[in-house]
Amino acid sequence: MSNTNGKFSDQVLERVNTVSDALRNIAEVKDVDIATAPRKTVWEDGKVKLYHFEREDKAEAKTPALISYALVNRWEMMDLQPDRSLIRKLVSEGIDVYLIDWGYPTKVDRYKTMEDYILGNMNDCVDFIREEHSINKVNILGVCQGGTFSLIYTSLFPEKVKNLVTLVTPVDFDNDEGLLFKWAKDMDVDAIVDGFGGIVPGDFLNTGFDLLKPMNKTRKYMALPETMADQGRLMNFLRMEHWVADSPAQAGETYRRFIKDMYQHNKLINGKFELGGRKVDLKNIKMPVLTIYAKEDHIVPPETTTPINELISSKDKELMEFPGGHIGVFVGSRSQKLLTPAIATWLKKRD
Amino acid sequence: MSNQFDTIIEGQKKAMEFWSNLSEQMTKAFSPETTNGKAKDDAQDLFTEWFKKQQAFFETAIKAGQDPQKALEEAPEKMRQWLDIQTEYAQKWARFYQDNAEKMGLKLPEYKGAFNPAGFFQEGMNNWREWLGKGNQWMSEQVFDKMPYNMRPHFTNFVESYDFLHRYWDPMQRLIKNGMYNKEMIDKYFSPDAYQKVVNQMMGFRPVGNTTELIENVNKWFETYFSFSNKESGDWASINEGWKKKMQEYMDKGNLPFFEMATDFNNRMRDQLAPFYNIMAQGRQTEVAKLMRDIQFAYIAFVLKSSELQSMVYEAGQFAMPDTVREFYKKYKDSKDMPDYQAFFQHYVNTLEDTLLKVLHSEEYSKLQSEVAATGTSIKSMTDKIMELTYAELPFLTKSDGDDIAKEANALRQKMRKLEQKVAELEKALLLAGKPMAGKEEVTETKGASKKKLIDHLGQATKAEADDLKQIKGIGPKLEKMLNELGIFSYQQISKMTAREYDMIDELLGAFQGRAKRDNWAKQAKALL
Repeated sequence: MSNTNGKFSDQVLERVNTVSDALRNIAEVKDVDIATAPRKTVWEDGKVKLYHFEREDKAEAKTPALISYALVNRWEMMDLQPDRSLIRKLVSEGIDVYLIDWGYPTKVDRYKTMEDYILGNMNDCVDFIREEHSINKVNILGVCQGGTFSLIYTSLFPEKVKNLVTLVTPVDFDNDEGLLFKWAKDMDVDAIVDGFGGIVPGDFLNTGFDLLKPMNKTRKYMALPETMADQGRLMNFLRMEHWVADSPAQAGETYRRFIKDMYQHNKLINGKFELGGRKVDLKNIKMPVLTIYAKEDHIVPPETTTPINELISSKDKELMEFPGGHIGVFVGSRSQKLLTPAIATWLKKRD
Repeated sequence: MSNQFDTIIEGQKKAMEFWSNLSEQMTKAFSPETTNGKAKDDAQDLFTEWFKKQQAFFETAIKAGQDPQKALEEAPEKMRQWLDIQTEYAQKWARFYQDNAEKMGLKLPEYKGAFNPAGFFQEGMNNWREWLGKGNQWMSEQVFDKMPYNMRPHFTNFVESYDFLHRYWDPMQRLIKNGMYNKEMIDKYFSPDAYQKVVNQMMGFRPVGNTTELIENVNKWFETYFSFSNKESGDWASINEGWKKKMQEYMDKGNLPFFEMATDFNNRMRDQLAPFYNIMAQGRQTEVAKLMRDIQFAYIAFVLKSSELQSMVYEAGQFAMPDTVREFYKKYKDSKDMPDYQAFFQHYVNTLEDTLLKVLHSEEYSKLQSEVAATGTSIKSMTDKIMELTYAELPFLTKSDGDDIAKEANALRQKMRKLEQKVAELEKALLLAGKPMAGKEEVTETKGASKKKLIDHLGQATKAEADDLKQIKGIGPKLEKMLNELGIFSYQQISKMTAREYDMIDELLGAFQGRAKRDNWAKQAKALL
């Protein structure tokens, strides 16, 4: 209290007010709600579910879009809060939206392979939608690792895909900028998968993600009182925390294969990747393709995404840069205002 | 693992509940209903009033200080004024406290005789501490103790390190204010141990607490091991000689990093012990013993490698704080303003992250991290194996049994997919060859004929004459639609059904086999007529 210029006392008073606001706000939190867009489960097989997002009007576009999210983390990121929801926005822009929920793999899924995911689940979902809508082709919107799956799927079943959109999707894994890409190359994935008993826990992956920006947690917690003092920011914070903590385990065989064939041997881009005994040739992709990457992405750097355009045969292909990071693509305000409407417009033009 | 998530959510839910109850209780104490709209403002007014008086007092005191002679004369009077401010505040606060303490769940101390400010605050403080202590204890029991192992240190560390960072601030202020920027001061407050602690905790993982201590322990362990093997005779002695020789080689090389040397030693020791175990390795018990030895060595390797990993991080991070201090000192040494606490730590955190990222991007880090992860998981795997060997005679399904089942299930899944694919290919081939699929036309023809026969017996009806067939037990909306398609609309028609018609319906509809007969539609329809 020996400081007499009054600044310190102001700081103390401000602090007290912030904390009391924070306490009041946290007392009012009853529930952290994410993924609130109304949906119906229309198909399921074991832990995997296909959702159809409900809409009041008739979809403007006659071809529905199937979203394939990554196996890492949960799709709820695409509908984190009502006013920042890629899914809600797509629906309101007139697109009929389906989404594959890969579920939470457990020990019994340790031998679930990439074939099971792509030739099994994904193909079944596409067939379900084709039958339901009496159409031959669907639109696919692949996200991150789910985008890589979509590229593989589309190469094998081009006759079932009308348009392909990939969001922050790695295709060229020969990259030294991204820490994940660097680390995965040195990773003894056999020891890890076998050591964990065939199922890789989500916490293990999260440790890796945390290290990509080692001090982010510190920053986040240091700003906690200020964050909590603002009701809106508090809820955003809690929603994001909920999402971050909610990371499913990985089916060991699929994880092993993805690390080895993609990160370590870059097989997709070299034309050496095979699935269920069938060669995966990206040249089979001839339909319109929209590739979206985030300029500041530290999880999937732009250089890992952009080579896609040189590998496919499509004449109608477009690269779209999003000014932001990996997560901003889904929850940023620019995503809501510009990116999602742009995707919808692109799809409707090619309906 | 999904259980761990549940545990965290459960813990967080409880923490939320705790906070929400606590804050509800606190807000209630100040809410207009409980205090007739007064208390909250009172508390704030009280604090502000005291602060303003305090501030005004010091301002006049400092002005007076410009004339030392006068200041000296006025000192006793000023002192009395200052004490008055404090006493006035203490009394007001005491009254406020008496009015509101119970509502906040605090125990109200009993006063005997005259009001004693010093005693009052002592007691109030104890009360407050006890209350906070209980809260912490509750948090610890209900939240931290229930967290899975790998999440727990992260949270507790964070609380500790936040506290730790706060304690940094005080000497920092003094340093900057007094301009005492010299090496001794920095060393005193910002020791390598302090960095270790902060970096360790902020990184969110902590395989070891203190590297120096660890190295000492490992050394001790080696010493014990050597002295133990020294006592043994025969082959052990020659192995021991080998180790000593090897160690000497390392020492002669001089600057070999400790971790590398120790890891190599550890691996050699394991390899040299292997023949002994292999000779004996028969039967479950010996295998368990062998696994335990492997775990022991793997564990030492894990500790050594993760310490090396951490050392890399410490080394990189150790200049972040002095650099930040230097920069802030330069900026504020001639300024009257105090540096902003938040800005200082932001700068520190950013500098630290930059240096950490350089390490994280290095080849060595990546390789070492991979080894640590692989060693860690292999320990888990060996532990599982021991469990399995121990319980091999008991009628449980073990991990390997589960593995077999999972493998089998997946083989079936793949087989099914292949068959589905084959059927689809055959259908396609038939279509392309221009032939009908599996006698489809023939079936349709027969169906047409049976349909005619059916209606001939039941009689014609039109949609206009339709009854609500759903009134019949066993007929739902879907079945009703299918019956309509066959030309069956009315109760009249259904009432004429016999076993022959039931069979025809079964055949025509494919699904719902035997339902019409079981639920006796004809009888039900007659009743509805």
